[in-house]
Amino acid sequence: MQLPTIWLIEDNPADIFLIEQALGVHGVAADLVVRRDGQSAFELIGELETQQQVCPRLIILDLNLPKRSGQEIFQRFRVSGQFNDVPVVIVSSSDAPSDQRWAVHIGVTRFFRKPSSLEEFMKIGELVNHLLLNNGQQERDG
Amino acid sequence: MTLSQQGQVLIHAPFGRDAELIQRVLAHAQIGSEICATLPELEAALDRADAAILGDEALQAKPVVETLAARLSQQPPWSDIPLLMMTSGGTETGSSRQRLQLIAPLGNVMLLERPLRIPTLVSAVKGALRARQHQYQIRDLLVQRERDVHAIELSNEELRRLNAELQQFAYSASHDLREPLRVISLYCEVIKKQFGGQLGPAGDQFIKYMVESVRRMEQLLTDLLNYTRSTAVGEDPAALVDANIPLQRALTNLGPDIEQSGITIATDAMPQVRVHEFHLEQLFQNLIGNAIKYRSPKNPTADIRVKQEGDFWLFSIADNGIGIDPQYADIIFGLFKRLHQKEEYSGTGIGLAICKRIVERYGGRIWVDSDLGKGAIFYFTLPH
Repeated sequence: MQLPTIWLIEDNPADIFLIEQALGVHGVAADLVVRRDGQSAFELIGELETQQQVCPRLIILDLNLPKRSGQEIFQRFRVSGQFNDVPVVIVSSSDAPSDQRWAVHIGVTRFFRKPSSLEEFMKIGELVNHLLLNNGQQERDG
Repeated sequence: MTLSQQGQVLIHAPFGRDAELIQRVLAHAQIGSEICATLPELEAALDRADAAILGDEALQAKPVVETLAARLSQQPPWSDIPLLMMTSGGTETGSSRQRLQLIAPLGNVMLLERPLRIPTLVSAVKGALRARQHQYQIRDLLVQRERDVHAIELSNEELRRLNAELQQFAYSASHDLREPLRVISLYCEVIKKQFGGQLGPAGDQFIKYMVESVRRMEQLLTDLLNYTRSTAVGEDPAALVDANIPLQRALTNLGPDIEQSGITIATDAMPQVRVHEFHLEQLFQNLIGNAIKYRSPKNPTADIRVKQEGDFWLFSIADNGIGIDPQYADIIFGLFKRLHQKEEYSGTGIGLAICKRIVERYGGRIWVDSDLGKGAIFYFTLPH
């Protein structure tokens, strides 16, 4: 059985490591495709559109990225049309009301505020697990 | 129109040699003048310079009155050109009263009846020039005032812009400075989890120091952000605020500390005040928080009272805690001022500074009445 693919678009290696840990702790079995700046995330989307990549089952997206912002990348998902059924989890340390409003308005699946305690951080694994199961359920039902 | 400070007396006496005679008399008294023989000449001279107009009966002619009245009605508010009119004495051309009615549209008119003695003429012209001089001074003051008002408007605009910029800066700074701390904090935990006990006897203690320092830094950043918010100039709230709401919110925020300390808190019903809810919440939370932190070991209490005093509400937060040495009663309101080592009592030394800035922003006062071991009463006033 082929493992589901998860895209992780995050520039900070400290957070990448912890997200990998959190997925492991909660038994998420997936191929993790990591991109560490906005430009290479754009290229990744291009590769998907030319069938050089498989469609991810879930995307974890940081907002504050070099070169292109998380907001721009999310917009690019919309334009592409290939991500309509893919849940997107925004991870951000921002508590700016403008970022939160944007996330609600644009319809991202979840907004995960990066916490400063390890226990809290590990909960992102639980969230991803839940979304993968739910989404799979919906696909079967639909 | 460029106005000369000295100005010229414009002489309009078109018949005979009167004009030359008057000019000579004025020149003798060091008064500059210009002869305007015709109405167009008088009009042209008015454009260049004016201090006063001196004329004879010709000023009474209907076209002259009409033309001059139209010109003079366009004067700026500060300007009222004096007109001196020499008239024949006696009764052959009617009484002075009738003349005054004729030339009333010209405004600031003085009649000089012939026969006219030279000192009378000179002193009348000098008086008119002095009055005109004062008008120029008023003009200069008005111009200066307009410049000042404009300059104040500009600097107000600049202040508003700087304030908005500072707010944005404080927000970004406190957020961006917190971000690396978050990672440090997380990795202290990772190290503790993976390598705890393997770092030698002191290793765990070192990690603890690091974690404590990071927590402290996070608290400092939070408090600093609150401090900049409390000092922002912003608008006053348009409506009255029910002070009970922010008081209850502060008590809710302090809930775990209240429970843990076993402190008994009593409150009066709070009034309506024209103060931002956020500011009131900060005030109550910091002052009640202090009453909890510096509480008595036995039966701690905090009483929150309010009463009317003149134009102000006088709020008080009284505790039966450890109290404050009166010699420090003032410095505790300074930024980063602390009286205790952080092992005894935690804190950033920003709380009371925030309270002071908030209260003073609304024109109130804050002070403490206390002695060591005898509890403390913090007072603050807010206008009605």
